Amino acid sequence: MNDKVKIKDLNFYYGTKQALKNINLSVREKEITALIGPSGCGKTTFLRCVNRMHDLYPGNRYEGEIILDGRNILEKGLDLIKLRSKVGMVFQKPTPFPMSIYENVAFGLKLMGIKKKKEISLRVEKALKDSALWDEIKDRLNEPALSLSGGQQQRLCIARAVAVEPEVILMDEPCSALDPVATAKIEDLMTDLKKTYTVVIVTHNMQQAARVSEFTGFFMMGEMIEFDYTQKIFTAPSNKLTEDYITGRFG
Amino acid sequence: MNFFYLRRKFYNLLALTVSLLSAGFGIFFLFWILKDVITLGLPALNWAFFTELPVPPGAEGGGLAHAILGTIFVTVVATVIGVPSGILAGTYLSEYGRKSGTASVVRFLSDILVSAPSIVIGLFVYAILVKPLGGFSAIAGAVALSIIMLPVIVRTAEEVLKLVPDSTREAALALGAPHWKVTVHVVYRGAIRGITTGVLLAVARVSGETAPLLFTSFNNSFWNFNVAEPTATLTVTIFNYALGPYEDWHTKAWGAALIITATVLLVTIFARLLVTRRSPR
Amino acid sequence: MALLERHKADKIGDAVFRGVSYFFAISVVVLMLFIFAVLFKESLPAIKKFGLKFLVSSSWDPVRLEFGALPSVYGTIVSSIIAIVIAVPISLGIAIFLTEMAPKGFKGPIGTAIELLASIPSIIYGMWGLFVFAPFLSDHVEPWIIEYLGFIPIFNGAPLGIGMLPAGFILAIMIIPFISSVSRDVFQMVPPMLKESGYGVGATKWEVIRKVVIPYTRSGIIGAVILGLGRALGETMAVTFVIGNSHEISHALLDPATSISATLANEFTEAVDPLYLSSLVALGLILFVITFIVLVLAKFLIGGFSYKGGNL
Repeated sequence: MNDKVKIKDLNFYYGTKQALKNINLSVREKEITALIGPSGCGKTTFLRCVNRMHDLYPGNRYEGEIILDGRNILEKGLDLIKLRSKVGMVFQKPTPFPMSIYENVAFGLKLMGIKKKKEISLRVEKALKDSALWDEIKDRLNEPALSLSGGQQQRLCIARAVAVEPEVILMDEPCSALDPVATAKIEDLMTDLKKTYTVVIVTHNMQQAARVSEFTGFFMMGEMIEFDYTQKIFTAPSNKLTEDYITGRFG
Repeated sequence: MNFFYLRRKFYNLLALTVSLLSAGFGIFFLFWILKDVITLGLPALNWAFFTELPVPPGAEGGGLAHAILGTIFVTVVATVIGVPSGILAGTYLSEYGRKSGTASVVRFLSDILVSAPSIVIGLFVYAILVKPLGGFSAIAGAVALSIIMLPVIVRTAEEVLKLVPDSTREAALALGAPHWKVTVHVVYRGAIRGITTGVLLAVARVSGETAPLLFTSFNNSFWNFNVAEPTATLTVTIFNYALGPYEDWHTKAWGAALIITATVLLVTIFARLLVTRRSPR
Repeated sequence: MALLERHKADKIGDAVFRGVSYFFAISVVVLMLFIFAVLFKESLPAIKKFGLKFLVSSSWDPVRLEFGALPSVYGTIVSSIIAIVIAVPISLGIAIFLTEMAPKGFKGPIGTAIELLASIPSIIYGMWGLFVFAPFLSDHVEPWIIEYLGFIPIFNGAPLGIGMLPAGFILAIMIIPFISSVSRDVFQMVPPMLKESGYGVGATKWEVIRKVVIPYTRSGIIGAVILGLGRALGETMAVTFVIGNSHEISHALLDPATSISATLANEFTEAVDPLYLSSLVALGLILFVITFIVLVLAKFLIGGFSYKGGNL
């Protein structure tokens, strides 16, 4: 198996405040990599570096390298639009666009320049099937996306992200706003997704990391304390801090 | 101690009564005005009022059809100029400028321009359009109204665009959408109802303006569909007729007052209903 | 490759859209500067002819082409002050009534009614003032004022029904809905817990209003009042009908007077001589400067320079 994304000595600053210190890790292709850690530890900040979401706001600064398929995505002049269609993202809270269910999924496809109605509707259907939503909503594709339940909205957002067939999907605590049943559905979905996509998930929930991921990174105070196979992290962590965190001594 | 307590109770009662009375006083006057506009305006309204041109001064009969049409004409042209520019400027504030110095200055000046005396805007447009072009014109009136409209639209557009959560913008950007498509297809779409409300309120406001039209679109006793010619409007007609010597003019002025008031109130109510009726979440 | 072309198109689209929206945003700033510049340029003949004397001279003679701004400026300021003195207590009364006293079912409808009244065009107020309120004043109110309060210099004069005081009164009625709806919004921002802690120590309703609500919202109320003042200063139609259009400065508030906006509305289209026109524009410039200062003051008091929205 290959490394899809390699992060080398990544530092990140919000203005003058350093938020990430010397992050090094490799994200394995077509696996789920989980990032855990106490809140404010930098895991979300890290995630948003991988699709350069921080560029939206002035004053943010990166140092180091993030290599995606052999290319440093932090280099100047990189086409962010291209990067983001290759690296999809799912957010903490569902972010349906103010349009119909169908149009939400078709949104990215239309952006890619696909014009044929037939092809769009086939790919919308596939994305909705891939995100295990199709059976629930196939009769109401033209209803507003806001009429869906929270869990359905989140799966819709996943469908929207996978419809454009990215290579990497970043998930920022995708289940934090959902109930346990909806969470279970999304977790099932993630294990399906890894057959096709490389997934990086930030989670607050250690059981979730243990259940779905192959690799786990533990973040604290903007540093990555430990990175290893999930099984090893949760059974025999080599760092004292990691052990304290996963056994619930802080956090 | 007991006295002190009674005194507090007394002051409480007194203050509350005064506030109640002053509220009643204010509301009384406002309803008095509305009542007069309705009772004095209704008798003036008949078929001729809406369909005919005015008769020579002093004669009875005729109507203000030309002024009704003129108000619509000038307001529509003003809307065509003012609304797109206002929405785009508001877009800059909410999507690009945000906390930048430029955005703060624009925001600050818009807030001031909102309350600037409308008659001064009339003077300004007189100097830049009427004088150089050699005469009063509908387009000058429309420009004056669009200047009054602009800051209102800028600020409401910014406010309602900001209501679209940033996570929604980020989600669209994360799909690889360029910023402008995110704005047009996602942000505008989410804010369409708020923008419509803002536009309606601004249109209602300018359609009742008189002062900026006095030296711009001026007046006309006949139909006018030419932007380069002076145009009658309901408000300027009210001004001229109310200060004129004829009884029939006064009646017509009340009729015009009723029409303009009713229109403004109805549009305002409609615009408000539009925001209160929210889509399900 | 099509995809590459699309990316190029997207980039151009981004640049164009950003540029266009920036252009319109900047146009607000340019417009403001342009208004100042144009008014100044058009006032130049009057400024050159009269200099600073224009501000203090009280002669207004279109025949001999002698112009001074004092009567108009005086009328603008005095009528606005009368309006504020009348409108502020009543508006605060309405706001207190709406937030603290009105029964639940009343709050919404009355609040909406007040806001709707704020949207009535000002010419309606002026016309009503001329046809209904002025006769009422001259028949029933002013004779009484002259008889019983006439010993105070500001209250003597003839019961005409039009003049400085009626103009101030109509202005007051016009800005009442405006000040009260803004102050109501400000009052509603007081955290309920704060008021409850007032009641919790045994305060009466009035004490809570005076000691908690008003101090907490002071700057907001002042801002609302100054915004109302800004409206009153620049208002044309509500004033023009009832102020009487006299360029004589009189100590008596019942006497006819004029204001900048009334002078402009009445005389601008009749002025033929360039110096006359220029003097009128100079009046407009003075009005613009006064309201500009007042509004800037209001903005700073309300804290309007700060960015109030959330972060992206």
